[in-house]
Amino acid sequence: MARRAKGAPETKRSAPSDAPLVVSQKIGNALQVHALNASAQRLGLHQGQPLANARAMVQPLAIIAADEKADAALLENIADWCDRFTPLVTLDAPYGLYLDITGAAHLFGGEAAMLTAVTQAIMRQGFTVRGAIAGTSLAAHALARYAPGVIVPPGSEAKAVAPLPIAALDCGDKALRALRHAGLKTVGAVAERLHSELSERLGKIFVTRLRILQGAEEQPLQPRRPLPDLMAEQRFADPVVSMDVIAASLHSLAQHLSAILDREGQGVRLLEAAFFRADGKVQRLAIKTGEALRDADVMLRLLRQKLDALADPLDPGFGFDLIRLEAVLAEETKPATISFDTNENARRQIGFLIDRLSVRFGDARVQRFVAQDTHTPEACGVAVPAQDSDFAQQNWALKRQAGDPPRRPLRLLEKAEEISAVASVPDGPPVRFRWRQCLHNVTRAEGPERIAIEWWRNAGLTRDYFRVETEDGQRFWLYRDGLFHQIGAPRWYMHGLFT
Amino acid sequence: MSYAELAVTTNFSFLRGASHPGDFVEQAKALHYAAIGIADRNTLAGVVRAYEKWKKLEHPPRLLIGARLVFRDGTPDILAYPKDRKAYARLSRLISVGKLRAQKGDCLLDFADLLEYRRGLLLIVMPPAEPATAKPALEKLGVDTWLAASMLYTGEDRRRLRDLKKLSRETGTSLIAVNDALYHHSERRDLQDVVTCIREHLTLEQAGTKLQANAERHLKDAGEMARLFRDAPQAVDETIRFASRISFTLDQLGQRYPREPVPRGKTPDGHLRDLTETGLTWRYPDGVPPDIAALAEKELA
Repeated sequence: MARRAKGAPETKRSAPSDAPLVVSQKIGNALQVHALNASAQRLGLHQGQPLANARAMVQPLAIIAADEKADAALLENIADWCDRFTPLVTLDAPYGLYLDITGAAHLFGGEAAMLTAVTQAIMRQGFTVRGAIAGTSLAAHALARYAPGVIVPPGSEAKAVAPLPIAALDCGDKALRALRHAGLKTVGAVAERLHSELSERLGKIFVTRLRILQGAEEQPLQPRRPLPDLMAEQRFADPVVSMDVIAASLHSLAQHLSAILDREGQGVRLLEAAFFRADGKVQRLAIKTGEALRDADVMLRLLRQKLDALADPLDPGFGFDLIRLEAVLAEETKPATISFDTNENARRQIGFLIDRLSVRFGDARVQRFVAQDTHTPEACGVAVPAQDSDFAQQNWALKRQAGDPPRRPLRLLEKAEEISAVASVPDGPPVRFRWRQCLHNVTRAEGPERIAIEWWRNAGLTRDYFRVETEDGQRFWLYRDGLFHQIGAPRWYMHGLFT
Repeated sequence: MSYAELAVTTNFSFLRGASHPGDFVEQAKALHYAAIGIADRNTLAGVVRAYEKWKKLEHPPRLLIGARLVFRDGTPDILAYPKDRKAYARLSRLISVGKLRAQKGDCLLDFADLLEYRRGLLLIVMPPAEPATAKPALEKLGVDTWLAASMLYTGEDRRRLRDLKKLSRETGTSLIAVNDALYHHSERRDLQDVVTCIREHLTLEQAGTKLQANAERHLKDAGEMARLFRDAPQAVDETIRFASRISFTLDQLGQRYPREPVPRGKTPDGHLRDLTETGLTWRYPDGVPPDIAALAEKELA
């Protein structure tokens, strides 16, 4: 059974002074008290009260309009920060967080110690927080609100939630009224009733909730971020500020992660370094690699380059208290063997080069051409981010026999340029042509290679391509756009140069 | 100036040709061809339709009946045209051998099969991408063999033609011009692309270079063929010589009832009666029952 820690930070900052303060929210057409501080509570105000009534009861009363977006963002921040305890943190909007601490508690000296660590750490940020640990999310949710601090031993959720008031079921006003009407006051009393009876009165979902609450069923948590496949982390008792220490830490983490990857027979495709600042801020660096990576030195080199290339350098502030290296995406690789095949080694070297360049310039900026299966010359190669494409799948049709000159230029002009040419009718090569102000006399020509348009895609003309050599030895690839018998005077275009 | 197209793939080459055999015959007449040959992949099925259309036309070009033999052993494609009725029978038998070997719809032929049935067949070898690889086949086939050349606007046509000329000199075969037509008119290119996609189970977007690069695989008139083959004018003339060697037409295939195995001096009916009586006495050694005898008499009457 998974162990769920439920932290429920009341996202209300303690008021600077003791003056009564309420946060108002518009519900329907009326303003209501959305949240309030301790002194307002002492004066008899309560949540959900119409704001007009509250005003009448307490004067003077400080009122702030609720900002739900800011609240949500704040909760997200706290969740980010809680990533240091476990990678599986889920929002329980609007005021709660679930931490799946399965297998993580021992790192903090047991569940009790962990609960204290989590609540105290959040409290230190200036929040009021209550928490509980239970086997299922709803049980933890209910206990954190109605019996904070409880740690339920595995399997006894039903017993633990039995004394809680029915409000802990969190099942909506209508159901609550019905239960109260039936004289049921505690969760235990509800649970004693036949489930079929409850299901008929209150719906199937109610029974499911009840079963989850009692630990008889479980609802999986949806992680906020993709869970890393593998990770290595280092905690610091005293937050670290020095870049040397951080670099040393990254070094040992990379080696640790590399060892884990090696053991699992995997390599990392998406590497993420997370720096948890003592004051709650989390900075992340993501690095994509072209092929599964396992070498610690390479990881480290990529990380360093990424760090160097950051627009705002890593700011330790008051120091980092946790650095984690995650293999967000790992995939199986063949065990690293030393290959004597020079092609294979060259390929690997190019892969590393691509990774390094991509880290430095951004992965959209480092591109490679991928062969496309089409007759249209300008569509034959498409540039895609180099890391996304696989070397092995490259299939450039080698259309010539050994010893023959290349059929097409290695690269084409960005856009074919119109030239004026003199050629014989109907499909002769140009005798001379003018391109970029220069007149060229053709001494040799081969062609035409006739390429018709892809008629299902767009309208256009059939092209006759020629390879020509000029008097001064330059070689060009040019075409006549259209056939003489189709259009009267076809134009000529320069499409590329043979080097 | 005159021309005969001999490499014609109709829609009877399933999902390859994009025009009916009749369309080709009509177009050949419109272009004033001397002859048009129909040669589908390992089949003679298309020739009947071509013949029907041919009979209806006034002053049509000669219609030549053939097949394009496609081999499973890497031999280049070979167009086979029978000179006479006997050779036509051998060609039919050759295709049947291949079909009996394969699942329905397929035909598995080896070069050795052709050697067995080649007597009376005029053969045109379609050279593969690397012409020299056709050399062994050309040398083995010997007489009545031609080497096809085509100018399909691949960009290297003239260089290829030069290589083919050299090959034909080395092997003592004559070069013959073909346009390897897949459709009778260039407008059919779209349809040909579509049937190619169906054959390859691809969409137009995916098919890419499996499609033809241009729309040149149609019937072209004699003037245009002569212009294309200006480096080898004899190859165009050779088509007329080739056609003149063929005397076979579909008219020669009448109903030919097989000879019946009747002993000399007997009529077929009399022979049947004798056989029946022998059978009856074997079946009923103790005398034929009267109802059976009546039944036999009724059937024989």
